[in-house]
Amino acid sequence: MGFDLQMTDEQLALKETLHDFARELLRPAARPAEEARQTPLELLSRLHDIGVCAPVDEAYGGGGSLDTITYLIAAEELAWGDPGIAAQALGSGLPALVLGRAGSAELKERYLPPFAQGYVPSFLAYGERFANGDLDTLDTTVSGAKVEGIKHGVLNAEQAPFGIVVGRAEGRLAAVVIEDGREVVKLEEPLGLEAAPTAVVAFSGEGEPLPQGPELEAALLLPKLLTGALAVGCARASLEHASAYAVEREAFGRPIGAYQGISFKIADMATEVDAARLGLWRAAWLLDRGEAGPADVAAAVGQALVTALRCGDDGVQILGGHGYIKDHPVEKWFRDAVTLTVLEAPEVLGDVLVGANSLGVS
Amino acid sequence: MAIDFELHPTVAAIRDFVHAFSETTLRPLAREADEKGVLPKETIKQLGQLTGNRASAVPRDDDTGGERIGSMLAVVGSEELAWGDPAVLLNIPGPGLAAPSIMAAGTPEQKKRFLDDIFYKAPDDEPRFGALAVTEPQAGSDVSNVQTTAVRDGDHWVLNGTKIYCTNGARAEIVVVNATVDKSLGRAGQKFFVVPKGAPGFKVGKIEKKMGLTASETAELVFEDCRIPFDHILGGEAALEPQGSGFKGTMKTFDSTRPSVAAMAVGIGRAAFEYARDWVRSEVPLTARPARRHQIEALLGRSERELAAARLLCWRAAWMADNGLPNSKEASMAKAYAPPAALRACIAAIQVMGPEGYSKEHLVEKWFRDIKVYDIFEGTGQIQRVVISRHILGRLDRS
Repeated sequence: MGFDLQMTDEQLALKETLHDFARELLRPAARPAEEARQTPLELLSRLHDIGVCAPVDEAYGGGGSLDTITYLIAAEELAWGDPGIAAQALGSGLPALVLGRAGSAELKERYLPPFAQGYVPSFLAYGERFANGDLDTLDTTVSGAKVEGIKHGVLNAEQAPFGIVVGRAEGRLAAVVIEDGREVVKLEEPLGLEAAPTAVVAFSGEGEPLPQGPELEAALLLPKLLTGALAVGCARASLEHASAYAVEREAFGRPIGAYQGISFKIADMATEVDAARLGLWRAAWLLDRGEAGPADVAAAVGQALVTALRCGDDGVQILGGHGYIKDHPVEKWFRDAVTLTVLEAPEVLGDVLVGANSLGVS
Repeated sequence: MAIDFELHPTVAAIRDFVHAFSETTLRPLAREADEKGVLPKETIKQLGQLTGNRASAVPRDDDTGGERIGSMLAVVGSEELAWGDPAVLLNIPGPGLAAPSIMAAGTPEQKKRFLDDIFYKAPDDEPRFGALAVTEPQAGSDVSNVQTTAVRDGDHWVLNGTKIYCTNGARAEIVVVNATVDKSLGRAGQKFFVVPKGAPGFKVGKIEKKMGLTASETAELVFEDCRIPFDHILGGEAALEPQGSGFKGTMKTFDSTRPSVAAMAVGIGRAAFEYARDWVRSEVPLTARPARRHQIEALLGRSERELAAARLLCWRAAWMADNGLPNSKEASMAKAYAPPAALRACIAAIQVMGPEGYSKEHLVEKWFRDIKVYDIFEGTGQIQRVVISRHILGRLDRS
């Protein structure tokens, strides 16, 4: 009873399995996927079969849904392997999570079984040119079953059989499952996360609306928490790589980790990674109790993104010239971290959301 | 067992109780205490009566009804008390930092003699303080460089040396002092001694004037052939054996107090954040220039975000201590992160309030002065980073 940070046996076992998977399969696949600007389908299928990327309730043929903390533990571990591949695998599955939590029975029956059967290259389209992660300022409009708007950062824009578009209807968040009615405006060439290729997509058409209300608004906090968990995994990867390097690399006759210019950076990286993870877990815990508001999530995700930026930067800095070249992965993780901050509410905007909430302003 | 962020009901209830006490009793004393640099004796007595004269950084087992929540109680309570006022908090009578060191290194008989008999069973209800004196002019974070010596002379120890920056040192009934019994043993030669008020050769030197925490007594203590009974060495005669308690006891003390001290920093930062937030709510119109409002929102939002992160680091370290998990790294993480985050929150509060922020009409300037020392005492931010990085990298800096 009371405050507790002990993972369940199931969570520990899952984390261990995913860590092995990430080390043995994702790490070697990271650079090739980055260069090919896509993740191999075979790898995505194997990831899907673990059951964490698009968890579906048994009632719809899946292996069972996940609580949000377990989902974030899984996401961090996969992102530790590679943030790009993790973004592709987990991003494709987001509609399964949102439908599972906020879909009508009819929508669940129609759209969840495909996720239970295998990997579905789907999307949850919410980012816009001027509204990165800020769901209050979306320009996309939903009217009944009709949706109209231009979205950025859309995964699987061409091949998705269906996906979810997020917009606003009568001042509240709204979402529509669409199959058709989309046109790829251009393929994006982002700075990082290349294994999860995205596009700018113009949506104009009719679909199946999700019921509006608190359940939908809560479910749409999940992609933010996912971004936060990817950021923590990315940050931890940098921390661990830089720590190992600091022990091996010598300068002036001693390991560079013996110098406080290096060791203090590592201490700060480790502290902030732990703090960011705790914050995300707390937000996830609140979400599953139905108590998380956008400001709680913005604070936790903001902390995770700041941490990823810091660890990305310091990871490169600790390796020096070796950090800047592609023989080491740290330069990639730094680019991935910056890309993640654009995908979700950037830190200052996140802080403004938190501050405005404290002041009682929305 | 599963991950859960709900506080234990006892902890939550005590938090609410302490918050109310802090709001009604500590906060109203804050400005006057800061200006005078001292609290009236009568006020200190009242604080003692209200709290049972048992202020300590670490609750005892019998305070928690046997549940393993002592460290959680300490961090949650520390945040609330420091929120009220950190300097007044340090004027609440009790064994203070003497308690964790005696708990860590003392024999059962010594715990009774130095804690129960002096503090917890006081018949006259008079305020009594305990203190811990470790720092010396040439030895702050480098505790191994302590020069104070203790030499056995029959049934007594004879102490020589000077301790500085000792909180409540001048008025303490007992001061726990670390001194070396054998310089050739290095750190292993350091032991803890309990020096009672008025021991021959024990003198109080100067009382420091500080940037903040002005109402907290910070004393220099001088030991000139100071004689104390032989059984005042913590751990008894066994402490003199090679593996006896000493330097490691000091470190164990700090592992248990760092999360509480970090939580005090969170409390101060939160006080400043909330004060500025409430000021904005009443003073800054919603129609203010959007850029100005956004600056305010971003500053306050950052404070809230970072203080939440700091609090969780404190809670984690305390949870580990309560569950018997080694938490040296995690305690240092809390202590490394919380004070700078709280300092940023205090500066942000001043900036948000502008010219009223630096004015003595309000408390935020005081909290800014108070908070700075939290990144210095109980182990500087730098030494915390040494501890953390050694846990990760090993002892590279000693190779």
